[in-house]
Amino acid sequence: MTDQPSVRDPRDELVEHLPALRAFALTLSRNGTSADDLVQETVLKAWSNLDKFEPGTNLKSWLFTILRNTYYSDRRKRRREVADVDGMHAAALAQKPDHDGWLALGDFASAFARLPDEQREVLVLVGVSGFSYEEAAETCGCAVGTVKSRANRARRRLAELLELEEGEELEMTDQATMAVMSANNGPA
Amino acid sequence: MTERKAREASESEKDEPVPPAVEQQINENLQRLYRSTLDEELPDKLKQLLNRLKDREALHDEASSND
Repeated sequence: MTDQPSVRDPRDELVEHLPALRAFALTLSRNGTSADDLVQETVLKAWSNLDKFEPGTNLKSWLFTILRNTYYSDRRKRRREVADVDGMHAAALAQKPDHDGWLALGDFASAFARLPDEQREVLVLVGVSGFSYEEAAETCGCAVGTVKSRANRARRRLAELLELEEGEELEMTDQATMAVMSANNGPA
Repeated sequence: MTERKAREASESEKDEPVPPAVEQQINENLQRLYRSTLDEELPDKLKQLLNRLKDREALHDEASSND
């Protein structure tokens, strides 16, 4: 006899994902009050559409997709921002993060807030939220290659804003690694 | 190099991954940033929202079963 794995009621599981949803919402909105409103809107949408969720599948991914889509839908309605691949327009707007925890983290938070929305979201999805590139691509509604490209561009832009130069990188490298790098004629 | 090729070269450079040590620094700071929010207590309005939704559903289920 095969035991069927128990499938949790998503209504009970949803509360576990609220902190992560809130952190992701803050990534997108860069404002504490807006982030909480976004999470609230997401929870209401998810609750009223739970019949569309397939129990046993990835609830966290489903919730993140709803939140992300809600954010971009609201953004289109506001018509205040222009898609900005290079970050030049975002830098010009230069909205500082409005959240105590972020303000405490100073330079990095400020630099991160200057990235375009699409770059911030992929860094958080693949860097800290535990999503694979494939899952992040599904959440963002784009190709895996696009996610990787955005992540690379985001890191490059952060390195530029925070002045993480090649020289600085080498200074952080220990002697053993430097020896290997020298033997291989420099960094790969 | 033509202007177009220079632009394309510049664009493709942006897609190159950063050095591993730089990526590690970025990830560590991202973790700190993300964790600063994860560790916060949920605002009351979010805590209460789920409870209200569950209560409303329980009332609805009760009303349906009494029909």
